[in-house]
Order: sequence, then structure tokens, then C-alpha cells
Amino acid sequence: MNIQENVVNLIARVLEVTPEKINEDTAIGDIPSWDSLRHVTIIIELEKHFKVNFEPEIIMNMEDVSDIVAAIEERI
Amino acid sequence: MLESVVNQIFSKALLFPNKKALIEENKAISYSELASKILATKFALENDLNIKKGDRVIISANKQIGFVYAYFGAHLAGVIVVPVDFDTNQTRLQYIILKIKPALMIGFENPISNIMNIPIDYFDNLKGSSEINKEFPQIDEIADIVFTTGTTGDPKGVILKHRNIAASANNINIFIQNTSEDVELLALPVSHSFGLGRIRCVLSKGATLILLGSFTNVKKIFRIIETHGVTGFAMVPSSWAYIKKMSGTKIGKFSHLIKYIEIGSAPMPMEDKHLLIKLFPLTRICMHYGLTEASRSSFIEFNSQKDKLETVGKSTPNVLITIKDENGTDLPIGVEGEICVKGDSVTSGYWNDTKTTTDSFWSDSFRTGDWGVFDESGYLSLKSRKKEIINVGGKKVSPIEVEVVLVTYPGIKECACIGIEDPNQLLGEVIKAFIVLDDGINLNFNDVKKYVGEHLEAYKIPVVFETIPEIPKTSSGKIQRLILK
Repeated sequence: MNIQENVVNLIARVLEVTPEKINEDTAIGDIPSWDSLRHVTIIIELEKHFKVNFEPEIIMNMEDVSDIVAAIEERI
Repeated sequence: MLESVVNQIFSKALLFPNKKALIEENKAISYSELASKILATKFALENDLNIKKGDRVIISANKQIGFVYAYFGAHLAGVIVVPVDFDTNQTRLQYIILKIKPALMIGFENPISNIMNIPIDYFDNLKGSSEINKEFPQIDEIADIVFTTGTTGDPKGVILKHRNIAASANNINIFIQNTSEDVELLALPVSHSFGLGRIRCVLSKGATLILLGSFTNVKKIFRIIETHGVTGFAMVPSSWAYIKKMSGTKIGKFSHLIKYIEIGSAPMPMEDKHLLIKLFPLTRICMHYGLTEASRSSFIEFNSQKDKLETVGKSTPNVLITIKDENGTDLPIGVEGEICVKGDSVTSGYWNDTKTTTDSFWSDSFRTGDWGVFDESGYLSLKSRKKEIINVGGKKVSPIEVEVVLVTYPGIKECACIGIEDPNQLLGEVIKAFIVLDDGINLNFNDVKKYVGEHLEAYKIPVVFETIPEIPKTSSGKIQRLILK
């Protein structure tokens, strides 16, 4: 499984939706359950899963799935 | 003379017809368009949907322009609005339906059988109306019934008349010093009195309101502040914790634009108050204390009252707060007692619940159930909140509502829930569940969390679990949750 698939599956699990509902252009708020609490959970879970650390500057720039994938690719 | 908020919106449409009233994504609605949409909504409710004056409509409240049309269109038609969260659990929704017997439900994905249901965007595409023969609601007619979390677990329907909501908007605007030049970013739930109150404050003043889904995308918030010249926003302390976590102190670079911030609904750590003062030295940072029943009863402004930040400030303009003993007698300055609130902004009681209404007042002073004390300078200190209600990021949770779900899980014999400080420092409080297990049973609490999530909203899921041998109770069998704190 590549990074994008991993990210999509993780986000889908946190948001309690099927992975098919998420693609690289899906942005925060496109799915109603993607609220601030779930967003924090996604960040924490991503940090654990990929063993990376995101600075606030980077977190702020994560507006959609492709931003998240790019941030992870830069760190692993 | 006090006029209903919907009446004030129509006055603003005459004064500045082309001014932007609402902005959502790329859509902007002027005051004259807003007025004609509200009017068209009123006619649609009356003529197409056969809704009559005094009927109740439940609106699933999300931050959409359609909500604003439906809300004020209903008011103009003399219809009572019952706003509920778009993710309200089915048990709570069923309870509200039974209690208020709605004629119409707006914006629900899964309609309830035999109650008419229409989508929230039903009113978006109505042809606007410029019919001038309209009658505004009487100031003492009921505008809204807002359901709050009761201490017994069952929600209570707070009656808010047009007088209450108009007075409240006026009082808040006086304190915050809002003007028609303001541009406000709204990223709060509109089903709660705080978010809904902001809509009324902004539109009754003739200012501009930007509707945004939530605080989740902080970068988008910054972008909107910059491109629209936002002059103010409202938040709860957990929103601030979130903004800080996501972006550090970057928001400070907009301090020259932000004239006001309204904060409410939950206690805020002192270091956060000082950080806000540092980042926004010229902004009116106004924090309120209030309840749905007595909206924004007191206010403190951080920059001008920075030596009193441990208090909840002074009585809001046109509101009278007194401290009373258990017999309803006024107590002097310096003596602790129950905080009671009087004024046009205060509710007249609860829907179809005479007993709770009677028990909630000393004459015309509403009993908040909170305890506090005034100092010599008129500052009110909050000593204890209504017992046992848990405040998760500004959303109130009755422990009983969670406990009744938990005990239906196989293997759980008894339980009790309390609020504890959020270990992640984000939500203020989160729920901790104390569990007594059936003999010989071991449970995976992640499965229990999942189970609770199937029955209740996500913020009501306990974060911490602890198994204990027994739940402390009084001799009459009432759970002593405060002992578990």
C-alpha cells in the first residue's frame, strides 16, 4: 500500500466513512464528520503511524489529502 | 421601543439595501436580498407548506445560508423555531419531537415518518418577494424553543420570546460596541445559543456575517480574515486551544484588523487570557457568562479589566444579577449564594413544563443554579457551575445521558460519569467513566467507546475509563458523582 492509500484509509477510519469517499482533493470540512476534534485525531494518528512530527506551520498548511501526503513524503 | 430581530433586519434592508448581509464561500447576499428571501420563505411556509402561526418547526442547524432564511422566515410567519444540531442523536431528537409536536422538519437526511420534511436548501432558490404588506411578530410571542441539557438527563425546552432575543442582541452589541461596519466570521454551531446569538447580533446591527463550517481549517480562517477584512469573531475556549495547536500564535498578525472577539461558554485557562491580551492589545476581548435561559448575563473585557480576569466580569447592560440565599432573599456583597438574573433577555420558562418553570424563578429572577459572589466593585466571581453537568469544549453533557447508554453494554453492572480536565489540553473537560463490572468480566474499553459512539454524539464518548468495585451513593440511592472528582 502506498502512502496515499495509507493516509486515505487512516482518515476514513477516524471519520468513520468508507475510503471511497476520500480522494486526494478531499479537504477539511468536505465530509461533515471532519471537524476540529477529528482533525486533531487525524494529525496525532498520522504522527504515530508514520513516526513523524508536524510543526504548527506544517499542520496549518494541511488543507486537503494531497497536502497531508506531501507533508508525510517530505518527512520519511 | 424594542423591535423583533426580524423587524430590525427589514429596517436595515431599507437603510442599506446593497450592503452585504451574508457571505458563504463565493456567495454574497445583500440586505435587500436577505429581506426578500425571508419574505419569500414566510410565504412558502404559509402557502406551500401550510404551516400556521404558533406551529413549531425543527431546523437542523448547520452554518448555511438556508438556515438563516428558514429561521427568520419562520419568525416572520409567527412560527416557533426549534433549532437542533445536525448530528443530534436519535434518542434526543425523538424526545424533542414528542415534546414539541412539530408541524415541519427542515434539513434532516433521515426524515421521521409522518412528519413533513424538507431540505435546508428548499428556500435558497425561491424567487424573492418584495410584497410590502407584512406583519412583524409581536414582541411577546414565542420565537424559539432551544433545548438544553438538563441535570436529570432529559433536555429542557427553553422558551425564548422575540423580546428575549432582541433584548439580548441589543445588550451584547452595546457591550461589545459593534457597528454596522463590522464584518464577523462565524465558525460556531448555530444550534447553540452562542452561535445563534451571534447571527442575531450581527444582522440586527446591519453588519456583515461570514458563515464558515468550523474552525477546523485554520489556514482558511486566516485567508478569510485577510480577504474579507474581518473585524471580529466569536469562539469558545476550546476553539482557541485548537487555533493555538494548529497555528501557534500566527493569528496575532491580524490583530490590527480584529476589533472584537467574543468568548464564552466554558472556563478558560488564565495563561490563555494573558496570551490573548498579548496578541490582541487593541481588541475588545469580551468573555461572557451566561446560559440559554439568560443569555450573556455578565461580561468582562480583557484589555480594560485585566486586573479582574479571575472573575466573570460585571452585569451586562440592562441585566440585573443578584445573589440570593435558598429562600430567595438577596445576599449582601461578599456573601456567596445562587446567581439569579433578571431582564428582558431572560426566558419566561420551559415549554410544557410548569413545575421546572416554577422551580426556576424567584419572582421574575431566573435561578441559574450556579453559585457566585460579588465584590465591592461589582465584579462577579463564579464559585461552582451547575453541579455535575460536564462541559466538553463548550458543549454541555449530562452524565446521566452517557450512563444510561453505558449500562446497556453487556458486562457493565453500574457506572458513573464525571468531567475531568482534558489530558490533551484542548476541550477543557472530557468525560471520565467509572465502571463497575459484572463478576468475572473483563472489557475492552475501545469496544465500549465504539458502542457509545453508535448511540450518542462523538463528544459524549468517555475518554478515560476506570473500573471500581462500587459506585458511591447517598442513602436514598443517588449517585455521588462529586465524590469521584
